[in-house]
Amino acid sequence: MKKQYYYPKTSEYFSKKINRYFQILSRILFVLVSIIFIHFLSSCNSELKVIVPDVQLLTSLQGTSSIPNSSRRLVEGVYVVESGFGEFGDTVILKHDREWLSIFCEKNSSYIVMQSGMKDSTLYYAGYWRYAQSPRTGLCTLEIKPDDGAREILRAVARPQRIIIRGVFGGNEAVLRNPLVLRFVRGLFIRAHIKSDGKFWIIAHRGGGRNSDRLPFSENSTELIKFAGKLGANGVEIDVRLTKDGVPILYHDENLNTRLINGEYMVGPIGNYTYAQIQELCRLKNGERIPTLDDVLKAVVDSTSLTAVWLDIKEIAEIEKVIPMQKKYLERARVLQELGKRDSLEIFFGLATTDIYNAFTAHPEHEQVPSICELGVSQTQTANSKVYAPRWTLGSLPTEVARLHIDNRRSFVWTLDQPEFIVKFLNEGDFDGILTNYPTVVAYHYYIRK
Amino acid sequence: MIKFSLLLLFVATALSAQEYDSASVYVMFPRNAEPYHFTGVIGSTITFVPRPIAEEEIRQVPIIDATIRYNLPYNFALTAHLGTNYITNLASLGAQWNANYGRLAVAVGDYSSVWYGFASMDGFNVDAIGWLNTPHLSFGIAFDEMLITLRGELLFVTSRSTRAGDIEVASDRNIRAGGSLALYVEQPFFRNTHVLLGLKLNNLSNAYQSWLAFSTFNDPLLYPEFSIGILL
Repeated sequence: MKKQYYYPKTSEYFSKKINRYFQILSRILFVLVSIIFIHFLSSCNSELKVIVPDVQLLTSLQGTSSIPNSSRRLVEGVYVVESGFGEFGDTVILKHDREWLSIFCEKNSSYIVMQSGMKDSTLYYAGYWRYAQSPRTGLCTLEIKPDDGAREILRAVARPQRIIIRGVFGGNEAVLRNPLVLRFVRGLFIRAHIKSDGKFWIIAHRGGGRNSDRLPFSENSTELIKFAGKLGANGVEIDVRLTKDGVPILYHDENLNTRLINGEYMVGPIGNYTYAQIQELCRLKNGERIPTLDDVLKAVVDSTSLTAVWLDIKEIAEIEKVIPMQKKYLERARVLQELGKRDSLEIFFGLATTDIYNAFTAHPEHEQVPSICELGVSQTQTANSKVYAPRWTLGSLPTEVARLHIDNRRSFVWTLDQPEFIVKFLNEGDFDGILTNYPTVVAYHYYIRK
Repeated sequence: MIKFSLLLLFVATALSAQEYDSASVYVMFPRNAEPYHFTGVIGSTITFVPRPIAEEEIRQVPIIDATIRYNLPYNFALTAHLGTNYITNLASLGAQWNANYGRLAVAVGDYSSVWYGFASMDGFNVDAIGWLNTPHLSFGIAFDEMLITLRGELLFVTSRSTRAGDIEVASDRNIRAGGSLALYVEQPFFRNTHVLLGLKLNNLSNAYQSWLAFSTFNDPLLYPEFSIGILL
């Protein structure tokens, strides 16, 4: 008997097969799409990478020697941009911080940071430009030729009538093509204010700016604090916390996190770790060590021209540790000032909360400890704080600021980042300083004034 | 870690989908539907604000949201969306045109949104308002139990204003703020219910979700966003 085989109806058979394959395909497809998304999620993370052009590509400073300080000061001033205004605007500010020359611009909130040198009666500058509020950046070289004013500048007798600075800028490549020409117009604005000796404090938040501003160094690092002067700051605000074993260190957040440090293997409050553990296992976002307050104050006194340090104190327990350190470095700065090796330096103990204010005013020596009070004018007077620091949203506070000036105190407003508000507070207020994440922007708007 | 847990939930739920005819239960899927017929979804969305902006100051609070789709003749559909976590509130209205061929579908559309945020910080009041416009293009593939939609959006900030007390802190107008790529799955979930799962990767420079951070940084950052909802 012939064997009977069962053959399913062909169309039904294939329909079921196709449907089955489709089911499997749907799951495979879904997993694949999910993997693509996971990959996108991990590759497009929100870490902000620091982008600093390779200044080593620039060779113009090779073989140069340092420009004398007396000559550097003659280069400082307000310049018109004769070529390159598309990127940097019509006018710029030139200001030296030791051997570095910084150029602050209004357009694009851009700035240029350059090292300087001299050779054969020509002044050379090489560095990079950057937009303060975006990572757009590139290289730049400038020079002042003998006939463009360098000869007179190096004689350092008086500022020449004519200073022309010529150079080029571009991206991150060795050959720069865009011309940049600056012509001197006038000197920098100097504040006519008896109470502050003509000084105005541009105080850089977190030692120079936040990590999100993609500066070359991490916030609250010694390296950034040393760099703050190049950004136009003459003061820094830094955040102080205590380790488990009572060492004052610089760190903004309460917890260890990937915003501030590399690696996720250390978690929880930073106060749960000893200083040795932190040094062994933690590095700041750009690889620097988390510095001690002691190291930072030493660096400020010995290696910067900063004239103010604002200690943002986070815990009451810091009082006993910080005040002796504050005294020690104020004394060290005073000695160096007397030797003519640095300008005056003030280190302020920050009184930001009522708890810290109460604990500070209970300290027997508090009246002799320079402090900044954020709480109000009467608390400023009670604590004998040298400075009242109101939040900018309180406005320009003309009555309060005038009262403080009569009382021989000062007022720093915080934290101003928007150019329009910086201008408004400079023009309408009589504050003695501005705390900002963008000292380059404040520097432009302050020094451009007539 | 939270992001990856949500993603895992997203994948696991999709893989354990039940057999069900989901032909008419969808909101995001870009297929034509019966005119004058409503579909909707109610659920929750969480957006992860980039840590460099959020720092330790901003806690990410999920938004409770609802979307309604009203189908019109000639393959058109109107959409409305409302979302709130009390501090940040968003309302959107939009229209899209759908086309489908077999299991595949495509839609092009646009929606406009207004958002409003308010908070009291350290003794002073801040608030912000913004108008957004979002053209979008969606591709969909329908499986028997699962509808997958891949959607690309461009985000334009028509206007934005942030105030602290009486002072306008920041204002922007007519900015192309970036774009996003989103993957949505609509499928049966439990008994006769259907679920919407969404993963949206926003690459934005001016995100309303981070208004409270007062960020001054102009460059785009990644804002991952997870959505879950029950289809009505």
